[in-house]
Amino acid sequence: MMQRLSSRVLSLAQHGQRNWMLDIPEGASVWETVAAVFLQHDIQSAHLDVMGGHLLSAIFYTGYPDPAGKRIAQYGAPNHVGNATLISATGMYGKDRSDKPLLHCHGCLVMGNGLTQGGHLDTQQCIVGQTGLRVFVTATSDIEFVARLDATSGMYVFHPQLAGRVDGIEDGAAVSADDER
Amino acid sequence: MESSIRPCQVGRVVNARFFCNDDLVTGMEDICREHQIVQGVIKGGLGSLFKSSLEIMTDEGVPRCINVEGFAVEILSMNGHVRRNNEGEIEVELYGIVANNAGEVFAGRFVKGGSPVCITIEVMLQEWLN
Repeated sequence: MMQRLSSRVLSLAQHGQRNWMLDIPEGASVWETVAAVFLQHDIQSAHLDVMGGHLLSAIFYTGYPDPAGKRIAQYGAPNHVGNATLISATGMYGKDRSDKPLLHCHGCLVMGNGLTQGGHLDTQQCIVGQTGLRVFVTATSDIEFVARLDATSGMYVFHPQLAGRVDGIEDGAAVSADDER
Repeated sequence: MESSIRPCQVGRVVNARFFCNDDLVTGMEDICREHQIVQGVIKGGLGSLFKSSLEIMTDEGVPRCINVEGFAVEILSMNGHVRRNNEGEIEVELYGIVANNAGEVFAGRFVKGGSPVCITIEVMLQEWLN
């Protein structure tokens, strides 16, 4: 008998995964490298376990309540960071609502003054430093994350779905691509 | 816990997302119940919480809770595992690092019922079989 669950969590389970170890060299953008390598190896959905290392620069965001009350929460101004030590980061790689690659990544950084901070990383602007950066990738080919409208927040967020499934795009959703996190 | 080692193999992989106001640890246990996963690794996840209650151990060896407040407390990283407890029920033990609205960082074990989801949480879980 199906057990009644107390939460509304959406989940899909499948056998089959591919594991990759990705090294990102000094001077490279995390997003540029991930996108290029994943395209080359046909990785369309994956979990990224980003190891610690040195970043030459980074941008991260933290959330706060929307003063206009239109959204549950929104991101504040970008926090620009120079040299920093990345302690760890986690990423989910999937597709945006236009079927283009999208990386959602949060990380924890220690600044030059010893302050530890973190939030949503703009991986395009995360430039790898002298240590290089190693990423352990768990890729799935039968299930993937695709950004779809979340009715509660009005934002496009990752939902699990079977690979190859084509869903209708919500034409009426007046949310810019900037809201895809 | 006694020292032991046994061979295992990887089973299924689960991709999941949580919805607003659902509890992080309870939701994780629900995923395991839904897919009948009794042993596994929460490889990682990220997203936001309205607040988070984290358990840490004091110098006296007594656990205490840190309450991280603020809308959209970000999960920076988390990991954990799934197992059966002494009563045979599925139990998730989940640890992580979170940041408040100012980007200040806190860490500990997520207390069941203490971390309601703000917008979303995305998770990958890996089943391990004996």
